[in-house]
Amino acid sequence: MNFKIVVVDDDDVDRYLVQRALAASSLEAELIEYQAGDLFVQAVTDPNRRLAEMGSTPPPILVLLDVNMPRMSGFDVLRILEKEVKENDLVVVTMYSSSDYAQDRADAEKYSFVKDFLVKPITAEKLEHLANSIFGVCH
Amino acid sequence: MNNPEQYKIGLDACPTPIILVSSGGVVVRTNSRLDKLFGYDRGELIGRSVEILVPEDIRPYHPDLRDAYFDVPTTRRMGTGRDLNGVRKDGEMIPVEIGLDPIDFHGDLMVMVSVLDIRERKRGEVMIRRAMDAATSAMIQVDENGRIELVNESTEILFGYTKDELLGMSIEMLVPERYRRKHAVYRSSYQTNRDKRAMGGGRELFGLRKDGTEFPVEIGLTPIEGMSGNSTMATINDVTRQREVERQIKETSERLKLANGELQEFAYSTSHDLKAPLTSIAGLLSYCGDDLENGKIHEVQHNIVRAKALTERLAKRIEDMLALAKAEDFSNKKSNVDVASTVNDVWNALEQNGVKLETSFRHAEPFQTVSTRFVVVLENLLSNTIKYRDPEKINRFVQIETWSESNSFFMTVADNGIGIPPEHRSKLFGLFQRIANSDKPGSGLGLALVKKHIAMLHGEVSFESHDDMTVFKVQLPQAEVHELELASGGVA
Repeated sequence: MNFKIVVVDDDDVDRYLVQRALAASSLEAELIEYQAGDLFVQAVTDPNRRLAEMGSTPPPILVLLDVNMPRMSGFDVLRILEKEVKENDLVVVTMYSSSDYAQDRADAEKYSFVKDFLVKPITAEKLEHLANSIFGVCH
Repeated sequence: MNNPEQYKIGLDACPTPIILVSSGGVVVRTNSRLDKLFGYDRGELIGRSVEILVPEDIRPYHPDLRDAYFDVPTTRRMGTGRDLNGVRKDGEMIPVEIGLDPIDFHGDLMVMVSVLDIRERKRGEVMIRRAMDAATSAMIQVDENGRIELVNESTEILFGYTKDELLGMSIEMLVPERYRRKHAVYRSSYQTNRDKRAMGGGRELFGLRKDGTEFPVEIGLTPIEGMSGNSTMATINDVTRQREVERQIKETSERLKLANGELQEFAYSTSHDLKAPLTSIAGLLSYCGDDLENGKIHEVQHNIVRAKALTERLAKRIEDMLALAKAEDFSNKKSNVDVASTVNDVWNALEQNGVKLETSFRHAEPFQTVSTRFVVVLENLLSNTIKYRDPEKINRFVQIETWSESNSFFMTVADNGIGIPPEHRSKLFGLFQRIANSDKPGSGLGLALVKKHIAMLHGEVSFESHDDMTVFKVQLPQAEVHELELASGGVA
């Protein structure tokens, strides 16, 4: 099954590490990168851009969203998504952060479309597990 | 009652010591109680001058007072308002109260003098007086019109007035001018609802000294039913020290609250921002192993460069955090600082990248501050103007202006760089905030440092944005300049 994973992270190295994790995994997924929260928000809230950049729905868009970014943090992005994204709109967000901070985890779980909270570094195993739980992809 | 014998019987039966004196001041009759009171044998005083019973210092002018009485003889008390004393045969002075009644005795105008022995009462008064004077609180008794009837020694010490300056005056003289009108209203309403309570009901109260200075007080009110109406005893305590202690406690607790908040923010930011590069480095290194096995040398080299850059970023971040932690340990010794040359030194140490500096120094000299802190503030503000310059502008500049206003030094650092988006301005001075529209590297601690150092200088820093300019405004109080000069015996 071919699907898309969106990664939103300001850190070049961390986006590179997701690329490597995906390459090392058994998943056949296309990785779409945004290097800032606002760039992602602009794309996902504009139907034309969203279709062009992330593909149509379904299948749902799996987003790996970094918590700590300058200008617009991961939580800022969540607040905007909550307002902009319709209920049956299948955007699935996984927050990921360099630290497992209980408050962040609790704050993230308040959003119905946030399905998981991962701690960096993202490995092939973590990606496979995530894809499996969300898309039911068995490998 | 023209019969002398009748007088005799009448006088002896009278429980009050009584003496009958002629207009010439000669003792005509006494009763046994009077003889006993003054220590004379029965009848011993008859025929002697009444002045023998008068204290020596009054004696010379007592006859004149007596003559004046006989000019307008009325029933009254002697020496109204003064303390009267009688002299016993053995020389002992006894406090007395004296009543005068003119009478016609065998056609001669005489005065019947009743003498009240008030030694007991005086002793009681002295004890009360001593007790009041021993009290550390000021005690002031006022009548129902707010006239001061009684004060103790602490009142004199606390307010700087003598007793004589206070007695009979309105209590409002001890109330600061701005509260007087209200005080009079409160006072009359107290008369309608007299109970023992604290004055002010939670308001801060102030007393006014003779020298015009004010001090915070706490006042207790106790109604006293006097002989001449409803008096009130006010017990007044100077609470300057308590207020000072309260203020210090409040200040300390606010500082602690702030420090605690900073610590939490610090812990949060540390977990994010110190761990992040380490996690990335670990990730890179783990792929280096795979890549080496697969002979991808270029990838390995590339990742080692990345890892190295991350360690450098991390080291810089730790260095900045230490600087922030140490900000409180800086010396607080102020000295005269030459702003122009300090700005010049800081600016020249920076890589200016085509940004021009314009200055306008109009502050009053001497400018006194903690030089090391001021330098850190300038370094951070100025390096930001360069870091966040707008590469699309041909003329890139930063303007520094200084001036003095109401005991403060003001400085604005303005640049025409890329600016700060409005939605991020509230977190501008927080830790680890990198919020400009730029992906320039930085620890996000620069403005937190600026804020901290300025706070340690009791100043303020604020941000404004106008006419395409990003402006940081620094205010540093200069009120202590005079004290400093005095303390150090003049400044070089």
